[in-house]
This record gives sequence, structure tokens and C-alpha cells, in this order.
Amino acid sequence: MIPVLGNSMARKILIIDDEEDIREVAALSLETVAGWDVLVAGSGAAGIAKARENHPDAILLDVMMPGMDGPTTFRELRAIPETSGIPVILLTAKVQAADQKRFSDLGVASVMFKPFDPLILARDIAEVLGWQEA
Amino acid sequence: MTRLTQSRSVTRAFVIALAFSLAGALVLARAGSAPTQNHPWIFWFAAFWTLAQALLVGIALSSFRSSMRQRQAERQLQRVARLHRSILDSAGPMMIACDLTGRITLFNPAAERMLGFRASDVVGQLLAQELFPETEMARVGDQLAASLSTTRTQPDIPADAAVTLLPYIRYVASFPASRVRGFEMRYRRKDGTTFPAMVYLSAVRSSAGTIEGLVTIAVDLSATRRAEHALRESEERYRDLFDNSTEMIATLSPRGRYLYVNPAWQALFGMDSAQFEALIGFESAFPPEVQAETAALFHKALHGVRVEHHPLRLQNSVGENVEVEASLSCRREESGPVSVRCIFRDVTQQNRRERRLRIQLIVSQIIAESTSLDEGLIHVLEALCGTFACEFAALWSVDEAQHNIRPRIAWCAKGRSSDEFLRDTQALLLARGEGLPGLVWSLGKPVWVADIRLNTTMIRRSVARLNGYLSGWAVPVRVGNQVIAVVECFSRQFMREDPDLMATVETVCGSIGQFMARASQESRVRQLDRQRTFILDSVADGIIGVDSVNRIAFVNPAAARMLERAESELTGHEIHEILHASAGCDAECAMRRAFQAGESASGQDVYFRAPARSFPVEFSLMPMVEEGASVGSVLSFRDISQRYALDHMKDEFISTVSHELRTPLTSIRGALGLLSAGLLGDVNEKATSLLRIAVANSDRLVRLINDILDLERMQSGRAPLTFRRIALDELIRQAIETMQPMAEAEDVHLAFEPAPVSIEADPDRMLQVMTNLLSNAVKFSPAKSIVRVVIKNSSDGATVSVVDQGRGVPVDKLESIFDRFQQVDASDSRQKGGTGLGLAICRTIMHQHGGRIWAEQNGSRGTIFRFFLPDRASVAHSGEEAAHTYS
Repeated sequence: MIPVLGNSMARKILIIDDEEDIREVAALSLETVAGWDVLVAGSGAAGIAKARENHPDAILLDVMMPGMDGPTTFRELRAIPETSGIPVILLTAKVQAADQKRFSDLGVASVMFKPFDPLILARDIAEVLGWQEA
Repeated sequence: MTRLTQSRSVTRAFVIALAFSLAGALVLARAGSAPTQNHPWIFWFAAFWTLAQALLVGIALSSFRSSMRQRQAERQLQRVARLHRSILDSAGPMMIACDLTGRITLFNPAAERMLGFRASDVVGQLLAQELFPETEMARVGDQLAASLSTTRTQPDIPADAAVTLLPYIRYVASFPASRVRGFEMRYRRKDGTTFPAMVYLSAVRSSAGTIEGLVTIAVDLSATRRAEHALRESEERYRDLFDNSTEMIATLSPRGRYLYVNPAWQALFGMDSAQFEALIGFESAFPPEVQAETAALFHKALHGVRVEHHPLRLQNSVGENVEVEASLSCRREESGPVSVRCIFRDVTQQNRRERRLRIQLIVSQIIAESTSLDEGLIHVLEALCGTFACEFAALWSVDEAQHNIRPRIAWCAKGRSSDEFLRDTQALLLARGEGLPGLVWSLGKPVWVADIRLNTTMIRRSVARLNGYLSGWAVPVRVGNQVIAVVECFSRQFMREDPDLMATVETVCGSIGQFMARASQESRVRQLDRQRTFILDSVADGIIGVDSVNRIAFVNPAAARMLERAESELTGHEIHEILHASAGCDAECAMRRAFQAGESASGQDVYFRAPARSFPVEFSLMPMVEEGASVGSVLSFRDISQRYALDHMKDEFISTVSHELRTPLTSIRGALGLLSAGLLGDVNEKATSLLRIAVANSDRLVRLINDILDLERMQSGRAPLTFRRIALDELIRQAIETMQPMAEAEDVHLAFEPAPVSIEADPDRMLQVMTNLLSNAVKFSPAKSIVRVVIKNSSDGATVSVVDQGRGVPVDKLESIFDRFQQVDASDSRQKGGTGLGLAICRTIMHQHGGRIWAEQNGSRGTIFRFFLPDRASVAHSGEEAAHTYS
């Protein structure tokens, strides 16, 4: 009944969000539904450090964060050779058209909106990134 | 004869004397031989003989003298004969003689020339009647016979006289030979042509006095006749000239008797020649009022003063006023004046034209030069009085609203006082039909008061008389068909009704009407101008007017304030240079293009106060078109810096609210989703049910937030449409596919009757509409029922109907369900999971497309939601305008 994705690929996902609750729910969702390895970071700087260190397959990046926000973090990631190739999906609670356009123009792989359905979050990510999950 | 007899006597006496002389000589010779004393008789004889010799010599001398005389006489006679001959030969007139049988006996060379015969062919050969046309002699003979008195004694006429000559013979016989009377006859030439001649007839009489023949001396009258004819024609021409002259011509004797009047003169006075001849004086023909004047003119002319073009006004025989220019002159001879010539020229029409033109010109000038209505009117009234010999004029204004007419302005001539009349006039306020002005107002045509004393209409007649006014008139002043005023004039002279004057004044009043209307319009324009200025000065929006070449023509204070420049610094400058001074626009600048194209536009833009000091504006540009041509534009704009800031704040707020609401919702929804899915371990049934409720409501809360934000964005214009041509049927199919899982969950069948429709629309928004409608239909449809989607194409767009078999919408809620949070049942949102905003969003989207959406009852069961989507007409422009925002 539950759409659990096969974990044969064992994707490694980094979630960068200042909201601990969301980090937890999203991590739980991706781990339990897709069986992916989930890394979490509470700020942009921490996220960048984890990304450089762990080379995740994709990064789920919150937009509004204190200090270094999502777009800034994204630009930093792009600027660092080790992380510049990692696909980044922005996760935002902002749905204003102007915001959407601004985010799309950054060059991210996709923009996803909060709140998300934890049961289909992994599927949506896989679809966006073209991952052929079993 | 006497001379001949005398000559014979002398000869006889001479012979006797000679015989005596010879006898005497013989006797004396015998006696010489005898003594003398013996023969005393010898002495006596010798004496006698000497005497006889002397006598003889005397007779001889006498005889010689007589002979000489006779020879002289004969020579004289021969000379006379030669003279006669030469006269006959050289005479200009024809000389023809005939005997009483008519046989021609004399035919002089002039006759030969004139008649073409040779004398030798005529004399003794032709009869006199052969020289005339066939009946000419008889005709003239009858006339001669008729001219003779019957009492005259009949002369003796030889029996052999020709019958045709009898009247002629009687005619010449009736006068002494010394009296020859001429008469006219026509001669016939040899070639048969004829000519007139004056014939002088005389008789050839014997020594006994009997008539033996006739002599005619005839003078060719052809030339005379021609001359006479020419003269007659000339006279005829002059007479014709006079008779047909349009000028009136009369000749009078010095005593003033009419000698000749031409038909034009007769027509002027309506009298014939005989009536004129019966008049005793020149002036008698004229109306009493001009008799003194005309008598003076005649007198003047008679005394040698030439009267030229003296103006006279009189009435003709049919009572029309006629203006003439009278010219009189006197023909004089040594003995004194012979006649007075009068020529009148009718200058009525000319004067009318001139007067009309003059007064119109004067009025036009006055109107053109007047700075105020009343100033102009007073001068017009003065001009009217001056032109038409009046001393008082007033203009009355009609007040249609108050149903009365009141004096607006009056003018009086200097001199005799008009105070009472003026005072009474100014005090009057008349109703329609009341008094002279009221009457003219109601009649709408001029009224002439020939005698104020007899006019009962005039309320002011007694005071008018007091001030000496006798006649007057009043004329309506019209604008179109409406009488707006009345002009009245009064004169201290009696004035006969003059339709032409009225016509002229009516024309002038037409100008006055236009003047008053123009003044009224100008006043209105000034008032509007004041209002406009007031409005322009008081509005908060900036308003700038530009001319046809886009230079600033006027600027209101608000615009100057917003642009932080004085009005004088702005006017005359090119609008784009002022407003986009630092924008670095290229040729594609929308504002520049809009001004150049002379098109209307509206939207938002950024204007510059100074370099690098911009402010956002909302503007509206409206072209000014006069008679199809663009004469400029009016730009109104308002500084929306504050609103922009407000909008920005609002956006920030919404964004923040959205974020702040969604963030906790994300955790809640995620946690609940994971729990309810059982991924984190089994939960009991009740807990699962509660988790499902929690998931559904958190989903609803998310939708509600999304819908609120959506609607706000659309209605504030911050969610512009993106039009493109779409296959509407494909879009509907897509919507149905999207909704299919929900329909299946509700056990509702979705049916679509596709028809190919290509239309311009925003596909995302249209999909939103369709999804909303289908979602509603499915939610409110009972299980096993069908929701049908029908698409109908038309020339101007497409209509899509979503037909359900649900519980239906009451009639009184068919419209209100499109309002926010207005559902058929207040519990629907809870029960059906709706937000109460779906239909409001649908309606907003349809309005943005220029279409409409509505609901109908589907018979006894269910509802039909229909929307009409126009095929991109004006909608496109409004969409574009809405999309025109500042950069």
C-alpha cells in the first residue's frame, strides 16, 4: 500500500533547513519511504560543509534561513568545485510568482513547495532528477 | 411778234419815204431849169423834200437799229435755247414731256440715266405710262383727283387726251402755271426695277393758253428715302430707347407741365401720359411728403442748376417704397428755358443691398471688436438707429426658464429726452405675448408699429408719445429656431411698414443671435475653463497636456509638484525628455511609442524628477482627436511610490504569512502523513481514523492558504495572464484526466463530448477553472451519476458547460455562490473539503479573459456551470495593458 521505493541505489540526500521539525519529517520521509541515506544541516554554512564532506547525490535546500539563505547557499555550492555538480532542489514555503521566477532563474534543478506530502516527496525528487528508482 | 410787226411798219415807211425822195429829186431837177421866183411852190416842195429826206434818213437809221436789235434778240434766243438745251442735258432731275395722248416728246439725259432708256428709243416711241409701274399712274391719278376740289371749274381738255392723263391734266389745270406742286410717284426703269421720285408736273400750253402737253421734272428720292428711313430708324431707336428704358424719363415745360413721360415713369406713378399732361406742376405727381422737395428740385433745375443723383424716397403706385436718384436739367435757348428733363434712376435694390451690407458690415465689425457682449450690443443698437432713422433701441432677453422677457440693454439718441420711455422700458418684465417684445417673442417674427398711438399692444404707448415716438418695430433674435431676444427700435417720424427694412434687420439680428450665442458659449467656456483650472489645480493626480508634436502644452500644479519643477520649466519641452530623462530609452520605449502613435494607453511606469531620482507612477494616456486628426494627448499620472511600497509590504506580508503558515504546516502534514501511512509502526484503527482526519484538514488548510493567495494575486493584477492559442478540448480532456481519480473515488462518471476549439487563453488558468468546476461537480454529485462536459464553438468564442446531477443550487444562490466563502450550505466547506474560494477564483479568471461564468439549474436535478470564453478580442489589449508595468 505504501509506495516504498527500492533502496538498491542507496541515494544520499542532504537536507539543509533551519527548521528542525521539517528536517526531521523530511528525513524520516526519505529514509522510510525511499530508503535513502539522509544527511541534515541546520544552516547554509553547515550544509555546505556537509556537502563538501559527504558529496550527497542531491541537496534539498530551504530558501528562507537566517544568515545564509537558500539562494546564497546555492551560489556558494556552485562556486565550490566539489559541490558544484550536486543537483539542488529548492524547498520553499514561498509561492509568490515573483519568488518562483527568481528561484527558477538561479539554475536549480527544481523548486518544490512546502508543505509536501511525505509519502511522495522521494518520488517527486527522483522524478525531477531523472533517477530511475526501482 | 411785236418786234416783227414793228419791223414791217418801219420797212413800209422807209419805202414810202424813199419813193417820196425819188419823186422829190425828180421834181427838183426839173424845177432847177426854171426860175425859182416863178415857182414859189418849189420852195415849199424843196423844204418838204428836205424834210422827207431827213425823215428818210431817220427811218433808215431807225430801221437799221431795229434790225440790229432783232438780230441781237435772235442771238439771245439762240443762247437761251442753247441754255435750255444744256439745262435739259445737264439737269440732275429727269425732264420728260409728253403730249396729251401721252406720247413722249422730251426725254433729257438725266431721264436716260435714271430710267435706262435712250432718248431716241423713247421720244415719239413710248407712251408716258410705260415709264411707270403698271398701276402707278392710275393710283397717283386717283389721289390727285381726290385732292382736287369738286367745285373747281373743269378746264377744257382736248378730246384726244389719253384717259390715263386726265387726272394729271386736271390737276395741273387747277393751278396757275406759276404754282407747281410736287407729288411722289414710282418710276420703272428699263430693267423693270422701280424707284421713288418727287414729280413736279406742269402743262405745256398754247399761246391761247390751252394745254397741249405735260412736262414732268422728277427727282430721284431713293437717297432721300434712305436718309429718311435712316432718320426714322434713328428716331425710332431713340424713342425705343426711352420707351424701354428702366430709368424714368420725363420732359416738362418750364411751367411744369408734363410734355413726355416714358413708360417707366408712368409705371412709377401708376398714371398714363394723359393724366400727366393734366397735372399742373412737376411735384403734383409725387406723394405729399416729397412734394416740397421735388418742387424745389424743379425750381433749381429751371434756374440753370443741374441736379444730379438727388436721393428721393417715395412710394410707387402699388405702395412699395422706392428710392430714386433724381437728375434734372434744363434745356435752354436764347429766348430762355425750353424744357426741363428729368431722369429718375431706381436705386431701391442697390440702396437696399448697400444698406444691408453696410449695417451688416458695421454689426460684424462691432461684434468682432467688442470685448464684452453688452458693449457690443449697445453699439449694434446705435448702428441700427443710425441706419434706420430711429432714436431709441432696446434689446430684450428671453428667459425661457422664467417664462419672461426683460430688457437687457437700451440706447437713446442724444437730443430730445427719452427718460420716461427708457425708465418705463427698464422697469418692464413681460410674459410671452405681452407687450411688443412679448408679442414678437411669441410670434417669432417681426412686428411693425406704423402708428404707436393706434397700437393697443404697446404697453408703453402713452409714455412713448410723451417722448415723441410715433413709429417703431421689433424683430426677434434667433439662434436656430429659438427666439433668444427681441430688438425694438422707435422713431419720432412716421414710418410706413418696410418689409425690406425688416428683412435687413432680421439679417442683422441673425448676427446678433450668433454674437449672443457665441458670448454665451464663451462665458460657458470661461466658466468651464475656470472649473477646469480649479479641477486641474486641485486634483492630486498630475495632468500634462501635450500638443501634436508631443511638446508639453500645459501642466497642472500636481504634475509640477511631482516632477519638482515649475510649470514654466516644463511647458514647451518634449514630454519624453522630461519624464524619461534619465531612463536611457531606445526607440522601443513604450511611452515614446504611445505618444507618437497617438494611442490611448494606461499602466504603470517610472518617471524621473531628476537624473537618478525616479518614482513609480500609474498613468493613463488619452489622445485628443478633433475632426479625425490627433491634436495632442493628455497624460494623467499619480505617484504610486507609497502604494508601491504598500504593495511591496503586502507582498512581503503575504510571502511571510505564507511562509510562516506553511512551515509549521509542512511539519504537521509530513508527520501526519508518515504516521497515517503506518510507516513508523502500526497504529490502532481509531488513531488511524483520527490521523486521516488530521491529514485531510491540514491539506484543506494548505488549499485554503493557496486559494487565498491565488485570489489576492489575481485580483490585485499581480498574476498577469499569459495568452496563447490552445486547443480548448485538449485542455478539458487534461482536466478530466486530472480529476479522474477523484471521480472514481466518488463513483462519478465523467463524460466529455469533445469538439475541436482553438482559442487564445492562459492555459494554466483555464485548467484551474476546469479543475475547479469538475471538482465541485464531482463533490456534489451522487454516486453512479454522470458529470458531462459539453463544449460549444461559436463565431465569437466558445462556451463550456459542466453539467452535474447533484443536489442543485437554489435559484437565489445561483449568483452568490461566485462570491468568496459563499457556499450553498455553510457546512459544505467542512464536509466537502472546499475552501469556499474556488468559484470566486473561476470568476476572476474568466473576467481576466474577458469572458463570464454563471450557473443554471439543470432541470429538476443538478446544476450546469457554464463559462463563455471570447476569442481574444479587446481582452488581449486589456491583458497587455495589465501586463505593462514599469521596469
